Amino acid sequence: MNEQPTVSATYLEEKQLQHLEQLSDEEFWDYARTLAYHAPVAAQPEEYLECTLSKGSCLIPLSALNEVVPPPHRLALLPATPEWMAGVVAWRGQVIAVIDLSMYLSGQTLDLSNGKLLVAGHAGLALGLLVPSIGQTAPMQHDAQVALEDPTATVEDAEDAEPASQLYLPSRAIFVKGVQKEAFVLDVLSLLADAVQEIEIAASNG
Amino acid sequence: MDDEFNKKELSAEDLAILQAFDEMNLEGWEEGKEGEEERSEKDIATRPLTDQEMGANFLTPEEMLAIFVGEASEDIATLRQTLQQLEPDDHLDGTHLQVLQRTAHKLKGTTGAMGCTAMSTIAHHIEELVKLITNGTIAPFIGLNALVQTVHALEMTLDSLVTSGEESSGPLSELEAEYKALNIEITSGQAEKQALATAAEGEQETESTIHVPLRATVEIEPASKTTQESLTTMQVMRVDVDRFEQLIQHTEQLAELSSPLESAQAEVGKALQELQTAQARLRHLEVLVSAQLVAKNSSVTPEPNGNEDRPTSSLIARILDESRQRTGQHYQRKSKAPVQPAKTADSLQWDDLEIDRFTENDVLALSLGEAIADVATASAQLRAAFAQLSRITQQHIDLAANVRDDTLLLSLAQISALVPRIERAVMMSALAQQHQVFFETEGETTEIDQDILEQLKQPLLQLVRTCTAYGSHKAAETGVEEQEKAADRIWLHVHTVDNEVNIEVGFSMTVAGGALDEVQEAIRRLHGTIVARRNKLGGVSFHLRLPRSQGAIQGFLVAVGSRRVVVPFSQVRRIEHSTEHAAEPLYTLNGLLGFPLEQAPPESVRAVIILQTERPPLAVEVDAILGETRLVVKPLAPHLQRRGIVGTAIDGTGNILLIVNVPELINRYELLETTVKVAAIRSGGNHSSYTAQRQPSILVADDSVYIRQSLHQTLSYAGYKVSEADDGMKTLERLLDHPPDALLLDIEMPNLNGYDVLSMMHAHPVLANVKTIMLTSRMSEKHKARARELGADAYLTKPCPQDVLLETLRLLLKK
Repeated sequence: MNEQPTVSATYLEEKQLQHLEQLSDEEFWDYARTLAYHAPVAAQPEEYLECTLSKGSCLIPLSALNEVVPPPHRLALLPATPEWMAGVVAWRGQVIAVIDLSMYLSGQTLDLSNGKLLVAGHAGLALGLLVPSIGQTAPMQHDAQVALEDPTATVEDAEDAEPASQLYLPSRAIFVKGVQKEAFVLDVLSLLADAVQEIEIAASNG
Repeated sequence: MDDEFNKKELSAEDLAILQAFDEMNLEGWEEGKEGEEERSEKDIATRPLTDQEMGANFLTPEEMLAIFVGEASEDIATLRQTLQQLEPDDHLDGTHLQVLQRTAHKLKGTTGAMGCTAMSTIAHHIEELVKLITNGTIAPFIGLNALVQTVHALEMTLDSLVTSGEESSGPLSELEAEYKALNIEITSGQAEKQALATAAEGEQETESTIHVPLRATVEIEPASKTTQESLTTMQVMRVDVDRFEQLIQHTEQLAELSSPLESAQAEVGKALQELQTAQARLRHLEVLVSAQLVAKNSSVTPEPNGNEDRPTSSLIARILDESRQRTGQHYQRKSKAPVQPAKTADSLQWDDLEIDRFTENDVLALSLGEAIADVATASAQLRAAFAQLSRITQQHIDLAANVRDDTLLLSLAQISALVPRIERAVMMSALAQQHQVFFETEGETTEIDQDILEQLKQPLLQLVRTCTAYGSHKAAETGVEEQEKAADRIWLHVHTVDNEVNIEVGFSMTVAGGALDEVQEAIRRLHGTIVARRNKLGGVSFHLRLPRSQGAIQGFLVAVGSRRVVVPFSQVRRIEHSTEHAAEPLYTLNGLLGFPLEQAPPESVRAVIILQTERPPLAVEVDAILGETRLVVKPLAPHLQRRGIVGTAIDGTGNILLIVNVPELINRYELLETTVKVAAIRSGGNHSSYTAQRQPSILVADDSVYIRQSLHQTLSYAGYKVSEADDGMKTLERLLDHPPDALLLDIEMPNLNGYDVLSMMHAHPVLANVKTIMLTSRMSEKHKARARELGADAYLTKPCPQDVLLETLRLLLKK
């Protein structure tokens, strides 16, 4: 059984069937296992959660999120923090920082009393992203997503999309890694790393 | 007592001497600073003296020289004495070597400032030799021999200065030739590197040895027995540390559940109350419905069979019956029909056989009544069950608290476990070799968390070793006979306050500086504090305050606007009402935390917390004291850690409470305020309104009398008001008594060194505006970085040219 005819998983010709019939049980299952091992896995598009912010919408990868917490959020203030840090909150027994995402990205905020808290993970550290509201989850359409080499430049390829530099603060526009259906796709891990660093720096400044 | 110049007593002759001295001093500093640009003798030397300066009580150059020679002789005697105590062994005693190094360092600074380069170099050689011996580069025997010859060269050079007025470089040349013969190479860079490498190795060694004992197993001792006698008889069980920590963790979780449980219980109680209210409303509704039905039925035309006055349902019958019982009168329908005799109660009963006589409304009313009765029954049952649940919940909460306390007790150990080690460190010290030393303990049976105890061991030993290393200091100040008469005392006093342990490590004598700086970080890691105070015997006591157990904290729950924070009991001296308070400077906790202002309730009497701080006492106003609480501390992640925030706790409803360190918050606030004021002055340009037109004051802190005198003259001459301190403790006391505009601070000083003083200054908001200039002979980047880290504003090395010193002062004070 050195040479085995290649078979399609969905359609077998007579010759192939004959070959299969000649196999012993052991050989058959070995063959089956080999096929199963090499069976092509359909690539799953990454799911994103749409969030409505004070200026436009953004997409956050679900893989970066641990939990979506509904209101009310029992926020406590911490001294010497950036103005976009809404406070700290208890989540699963630990104290995590909560970032007002609208304020962080665009410098403007909305009423967050009924906002959703997205708990995201970064380097083993949990952080909360407070957004006014969330929409549906949607798979990322790679052909629709526009990679932005220069995030501060106008996104000409994206239909009807305003440039990130017009909606977001210049220092935050770099966290937009693409755009899909007028919503900015955020590089959440870089954003969280930056936020953690700024929160830490604020302690020494304040 | 501050040594201030009497500025009206300076004669013309004094002025001439002063000028001569100034010139001599400049030359000395020029010589000591190789490669330094030639110093300009601007304003100070050339400008005419003011009346104020004319009155300064300056010393003559001869007097200054005499002071220098006397001080150098004392230092050389100390070196000689210490060398005699060193025995040529395989390993020279570290504490004696430390004394040599410190004394040589002080001498190097003094001789450098005097311009005696040869003596300064020889003193530096002693420092380097000690480093080489310590790191094993040269053998102890050879090293000791070299040290003896070096001290001899120092004596010879000083002799030449005294006899001829100039120091001879001959002894130094001979000494360096001798080093070559002994194959000793002294280069400062190499020695520095070697010293750093040794220090790094030492640190690694220390780190690897700190945590060993508790990792494998921990010995659990019944905490109820506290006496030394019972300690010897108690049974000890070995427990795996990981399992023990798991037990602690689960116990904490169990205890943490108490608050949510209480909250849930309160919620159920509230819901039950609402149920009872709804039930009452239903009853009321039932009455109304029944009344309506009665009214409706009464308006119906009587039936021919004569049953027109019969109630239409048992519900109505019951109402009528109740009415009859209440009023004693029978129900009479309000109809125009002729009055009928009243029915008996039995005739009003619902009878299934007579169902055709009742309307649908009657049936509905009956059902409503029965449903209400069912609700009433269920409600009563629920009340009984809730009462039972409350009892059990309370028992559970009490039990969880007991379990937590018991578990915490398991992890406690007596501080007496450290006493033998500390006593041994005292007895092995250089101090104990020279003086009779009594070591006393009190309250050593106090128990503390084993983990804390383990981490406390090294800092405590370090504290004692550092303080007792400089045993010969007192010898220089007092005679040998006096030393023998007065034995030195060292004590370890322990007592508990609530959930904290206070440890006093006291010394009756002058101690070596640097202890506080060395152990402060370790104490801070344990969430503790350490301060130095002068004790009743005139020495220095170090007061350590530590949590008794990790995890839990007790304090006041305080309202700050709509927020709540916890102020640990240990920070509070007393509580007053805002109407009573008048004495101490008042801060608001809301302002200290930097929270947005909220509208205060009108005419409310607020609480004022008087803090347990050193002088001056501090007071903080809060909106209300809500009560006392005991909570489990949750440490903050590194990026969330803030100065003045000890940690957080989560209450039963999931709210986060900040646990605050109020004195630290005040300190931070004062620093910020200073920055804001400076910024305001810079932007507004209104300098004169902020800087009062007065003589700026400088505190000179240096253990060398020569350096102090020299600086005193220079600064007074430049128009500053000068005071002095010759050790770290006095420096701190003078700073607090009369905060100066600037502090000139040496590093190497007895009692507290310069770093200790800088650290302690942080604890006193009143000193936040004092400009600090380090003036030291320590030149390495390591020292400069440490000083910057501790908040020094400038760093100058001795010998420092006058114009550099004065320009630095001018710039700092201008700020």
